[in-house]
Amino acid sequence: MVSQPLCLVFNKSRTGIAAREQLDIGLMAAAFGQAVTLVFLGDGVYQLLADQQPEAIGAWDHSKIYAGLDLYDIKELVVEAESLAVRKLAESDLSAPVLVEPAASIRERFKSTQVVIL
Amino acid sequence: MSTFAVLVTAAPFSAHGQQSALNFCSAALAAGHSIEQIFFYQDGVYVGNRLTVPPGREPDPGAQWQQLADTHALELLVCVASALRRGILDSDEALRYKLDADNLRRGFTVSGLGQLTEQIAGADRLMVFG
Repeated sequence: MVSQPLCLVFNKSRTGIAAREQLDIGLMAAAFGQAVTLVFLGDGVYQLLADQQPEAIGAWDHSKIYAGLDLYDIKELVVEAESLAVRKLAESDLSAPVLVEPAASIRERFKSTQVVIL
Repeated sequence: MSTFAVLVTAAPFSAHGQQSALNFCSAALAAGHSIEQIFFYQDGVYVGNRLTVPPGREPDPGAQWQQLADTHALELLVCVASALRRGILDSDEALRYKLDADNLRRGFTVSGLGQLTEQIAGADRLMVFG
C-alpha cells in the first residue's frame, strides 16, 4: 500500500461516540501503517482536557484513549497554541503528551500533508 | 485526469454535504476523472436507509446516489460500525443481531474503515464532505 501521511483535524468539542468515530479513522489508518497526526484546533482542544467526567451526563468516556494512542502507533498529537490561549488553557491542563504549535506551523503541516480529514 | 477517494460524513436532509458530494462526483466523472467508491461514515450512513420518504419534489440523496452508482458503476459503501449504531442494516447484519427487519438501500454495501484507508492510499486526492 502507498504510504499516505494523514492529518486528522479535531475542531469541535465533541463528546462520546462522535469523537470516537472521528478517532477511529486515525486508528484504522495507523493499523494499516500510515503515519497519522492528530491536530486539535478551536473547541477541539477541549477533547484533550484532563479529569473529564462524561459519565456524569450520561456520555460515553473516550477521553482516556488519547493518552494511550502511542500503543496504536499514533505518536503525534498537535495542539494549536492560540486555541489554548484564548480558552485560558495550558498544556498542563491536557490529558495526553502533545506538541503545542503556533497556527502558522500548523498551516505548514496542512500544506505538506496529502490527506487532511476534518 | 485524477483518481478521487470520497468520504461523506454529512447527514442527508439536515446538512448540505450529501448534495455537495453528489454534485462534485457528477462533475468529476463527467470531466473524465476516476471515482470508484464513495465511503459513507458517521451520520453520512443515514443515506443508506431505503425507508426514507422525502415529500413532493424534494431532492432524495439516497435515490440520487443509487442513480449515479448505476450509471458509473460506483460502489457505495457504508461503514458497518457507524451503520449499526444508527439502525442501518443489511439482511446479513439483521440476521446476525436477530433483528426483525433490514433497511439498506439497493446499491449500497456494508463495509469497514479498512476499505476507506485502502481507497485513500490508492487515490490522488481525498475529498471529505462533512
